[in-house]
Amino acid sequence: MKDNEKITIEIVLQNPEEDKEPQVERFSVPFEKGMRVLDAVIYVQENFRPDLAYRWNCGEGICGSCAAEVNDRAVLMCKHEMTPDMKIVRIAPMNVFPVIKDLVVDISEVYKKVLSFKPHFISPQKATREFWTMHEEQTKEAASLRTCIDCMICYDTCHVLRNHENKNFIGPRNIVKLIGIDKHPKNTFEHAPLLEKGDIWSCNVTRCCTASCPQNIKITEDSIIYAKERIMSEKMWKPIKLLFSKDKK
Amino acid sequence: MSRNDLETITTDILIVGAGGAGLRAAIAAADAGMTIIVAGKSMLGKCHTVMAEGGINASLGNIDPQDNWKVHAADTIREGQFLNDPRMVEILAKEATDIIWELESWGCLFDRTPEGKIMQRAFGGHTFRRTCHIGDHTGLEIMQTLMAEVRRRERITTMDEVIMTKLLTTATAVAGAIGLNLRTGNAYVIKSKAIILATGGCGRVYRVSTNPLETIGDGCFLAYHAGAELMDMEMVQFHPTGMLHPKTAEGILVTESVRGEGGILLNGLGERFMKNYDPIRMELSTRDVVSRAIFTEIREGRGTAHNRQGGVWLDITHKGKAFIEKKLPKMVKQFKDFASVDITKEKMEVAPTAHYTMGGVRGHAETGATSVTGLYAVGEIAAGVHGANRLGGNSLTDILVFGRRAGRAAAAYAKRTTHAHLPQKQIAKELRRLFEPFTRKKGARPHVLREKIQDLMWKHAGIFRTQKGLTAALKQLQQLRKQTMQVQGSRRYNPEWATYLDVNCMLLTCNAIIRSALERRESRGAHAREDYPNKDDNHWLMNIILFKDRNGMQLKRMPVPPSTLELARVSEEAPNERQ
Repeated sequence: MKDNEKITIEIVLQNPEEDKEPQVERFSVPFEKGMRVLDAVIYVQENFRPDLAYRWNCGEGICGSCAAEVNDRAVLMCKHEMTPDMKIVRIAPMNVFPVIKDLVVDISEVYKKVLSFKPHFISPQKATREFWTMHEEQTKEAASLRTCIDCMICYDTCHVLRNHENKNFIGPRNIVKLIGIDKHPKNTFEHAPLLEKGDIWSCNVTRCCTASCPQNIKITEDSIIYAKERIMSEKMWKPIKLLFSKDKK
Repeated sequence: MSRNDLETITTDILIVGAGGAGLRAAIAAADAGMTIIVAGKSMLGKCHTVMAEGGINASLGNIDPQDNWKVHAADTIREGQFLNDPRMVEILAKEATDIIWELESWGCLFDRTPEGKIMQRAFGGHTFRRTCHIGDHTGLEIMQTLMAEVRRRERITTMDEVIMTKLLTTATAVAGAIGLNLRTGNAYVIKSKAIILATGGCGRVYRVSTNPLETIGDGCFLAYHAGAELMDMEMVQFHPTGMLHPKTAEGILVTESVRGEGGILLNGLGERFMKNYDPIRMELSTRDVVSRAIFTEIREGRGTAHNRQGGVWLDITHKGKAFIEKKLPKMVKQFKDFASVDITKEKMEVAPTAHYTMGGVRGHAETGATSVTGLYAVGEIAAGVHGANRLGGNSLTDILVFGRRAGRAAAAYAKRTTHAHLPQKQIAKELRRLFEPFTRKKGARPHVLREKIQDLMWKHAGIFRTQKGLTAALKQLQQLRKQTMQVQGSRRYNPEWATYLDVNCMLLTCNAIIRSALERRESRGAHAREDYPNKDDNHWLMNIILFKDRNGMQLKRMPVPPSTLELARVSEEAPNERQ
């Protein structure tokens, strides 16, 4: 395909105030080599649908605003290339979230779910203003989890939330956040053992979240499996600890 | 919309802008016992702060023990070409260490030295290595830390996707602001005792910019119309090479090391044009010369085809795949991810890109208090600390040091004052302005106007300026201001409506930039005049200040505030220390 030849895209549109059901509309967009899906959406908004709702901000994959489903897979639209061999490009809002309008969704449930777990770093306040001594081997895993950009792609991809509609499951993004705090070498309040309340066992480790992460965070290995192991070891050690503490008495 | 269905929310302090500066101010004010609303144009955490890569400066002396705040201050002033407010620089350099400590105690991670201390790297213009960082995502890590701190404080309410469009004022002080909730399409009033502007810069008034979509100088617009002063607006920092295509990627920085590793520059005709500008050093010439050469090629019509006015080619393919992948892995990935260009086989399309605005709202050095009682400005929107050019890594320090100060000062002020009565006339007038474009049958499309403004700014008020170009730009801008705009469609989450509001801000911001650039008849720091290529310390150790009166925008010059003796001495000594 050459530049300026037309490519057809489909966008799922819905204004919940007015439409009961989402509608799919087709638009013809001039193709340019290297163009992103977001370029096509901007073209449609500027030329055909002035009030087409979509989010974007940085254009370099770091703000995490522009996540949407392209041909049924959640991606960052600023990174996703429109290739000439794509037969139909179908752009839809992320499936698991309520639609505000068109491609804009309400992700507030994700933040609400994690609040009761106190997603904060807690460490005894240092008496003097001295800096900590830490080594990169200790901080490496926490640092990689903390590169999460809150794009919510993992949350949308997770089949527990998507296909089974298990609303109790806290979701991969939130586990990443909590374990990112836990793995900080100076953190003193561990969140992992609490995650049973977040229905962590409903995750059956299909690794869809890890595969979808635009930041390449090893969500499954570094956070979910880690948390499950922490829960199990707490359970195993608790009776033993109790036993020993009684012995001492 | 009638006044009756206008929702009013009351708070002690309203913070406009939810980036690093806004959040740090919110934390400080909340800890002082105030209730706070932080209103952001995008969702929390999607701000420009997360895009900061380089790092945050503090003279910890972890790598170079000789470093101290005085050398940091001297470096800042030298880079700012003595246009900085010396008191602000002193505060910045002194409090930077404490800010880093504070971040660390909140769980923010940094790269470490082998001894386990915070790692500090070298950055251009610094005498010593003092830039603390974590990989190339320092801004993201800091924002994650600040967001967690904000969420644990119940006194802070964050509002996402709310555009503040007007500050409400009484004869003596601020009374609140009108905001537009993008999600519902409804306006509402926030009644507050104090307001902190933390809206970020205005890089997006230029065609090519590293800034995100939303940074178009809202703060200047809000402050100016509330009666505050703008300062140093001509000082806009550019980088010689940014990506150009596709549109979403336009402006992303292309590191200078591409040229350092042997990359050559070609114009649209395929000529290696640097031979006409610096035949000896060619592409390795100084940043100024390279920027000017690229800009001239594009302006004279020898550019590439993309992005309306085009760019130039940057080619490193002759170095071979193995070399490029080893030396420039980040650039290989960046062009693959955002433009699907394989830089080992294809040329890169680049153009100068607007990066940072040193100017903005004029505030008090200690607190960020503007000339309007109860109104504070902090971060990139505040002028003064960076002078005529910003030292790399100082912006993250700036937002946190002055964010904390503004938060505390606003809280102290809010404690001793009461809510002012809301000026109903101002509210009615603003609501008319907000909803008017929906009622028009005819009018320009806002995004078309936005493009026109961006093009003319880039061409005439960008990296190099002339009297002739600036005068032409001012004229064109005035013509654009006369055009009425219309907005189509529903009010709910309407991006065109947001663009309409942005364009109104841009018209003001650009006017301020052009007027100041015309006034400063010398070249200093980021402000380069082709017709006045030299620095003129005798006449221009002055800040250019803009304010509003009955006849429109007025301009005055003020000598740069005197430096404390001690600092002046350090500034002169420091270059020797470097050797």
